[in-house]
Amino acid sequence: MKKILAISSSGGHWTQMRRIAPSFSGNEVVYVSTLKGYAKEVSTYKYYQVKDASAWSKLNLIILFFQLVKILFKERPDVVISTGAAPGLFAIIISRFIGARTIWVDSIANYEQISLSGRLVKYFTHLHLTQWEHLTNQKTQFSGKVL
Amino acid sequence: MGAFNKSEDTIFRKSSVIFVVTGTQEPFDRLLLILDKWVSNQDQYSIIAQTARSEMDFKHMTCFDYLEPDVFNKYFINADVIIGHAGMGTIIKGLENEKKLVVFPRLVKYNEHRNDHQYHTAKGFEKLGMLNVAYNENELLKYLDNLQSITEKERIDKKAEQKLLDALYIFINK
Repeated sequence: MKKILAISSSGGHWTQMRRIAPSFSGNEVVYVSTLKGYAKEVSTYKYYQVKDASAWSKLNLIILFFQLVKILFKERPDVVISTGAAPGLFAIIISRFIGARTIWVDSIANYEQISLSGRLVKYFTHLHLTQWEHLTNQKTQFSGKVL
Repeated sequence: MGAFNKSEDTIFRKSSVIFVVTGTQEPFDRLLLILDKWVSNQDQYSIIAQTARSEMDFKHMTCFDYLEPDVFNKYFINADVIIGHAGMGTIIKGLENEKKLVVFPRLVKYNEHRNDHQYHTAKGFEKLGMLNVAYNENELLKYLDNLQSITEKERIDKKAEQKLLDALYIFINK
């Protein structure tokens, strides 16, 4: 059995994470997101709330980064998966120091181009997925949509 | 829960309810102002809105800065019509629950988002026949004046397509 850390921002990122959750079956899952209330939606799993941060709030980004360092070194997951945005980018970068394998599923909202976090995370992640076939390249693959 | 039950009685039984969804991150006053004005002379409809820290004072809608996810889901599922920004959470939840949904994309030119991905998302889903979109005030008012005729789109399952689930499952377990 693997230990999976599934991390996303709130709203659409979280909705998409819930839709890919059936692929975690048979493994231990720890969820991380930015709203306290999501704990109820995944009440049979361990849940961590972290700071909601984006490129618009630099201080929150720093707080978020250190929260994630603490969680990842404590949990030491085998696999880290994210549907975006900033929390997933940070978690995947930090995960390289604990040897986890990492997956990025770029949000289906990014039809014109891969998201900013998605473009940055590309250099750190093992599996880098877009949900739009026209955005694939050598590194970024398409394996279907969350819909 | 007492408070919620009370508001449920008063809000859900007198008229049809429009639930307005603008996400949790940034306010969306352009949409809320149109709706507040429109609903001021409607007796058949009432509006509940999650307004994400808007600093405006809306006189004709029941507004919440933020709703806990379980309460939010209750309002969403019980509402007769959903009007929202074109966030993926709103769009997917609308499809999962087969709601009458109209989205109004946030635009960079009004400083409502960091880029115009909501506009492109809306266009994309509209092309697939999965979404009703109002791109400006006039189009939104047209939908509002014909709420009965808004169509629900086909319900989707609550999980990703099998091809994606399989790819992830294989990578996770290898």
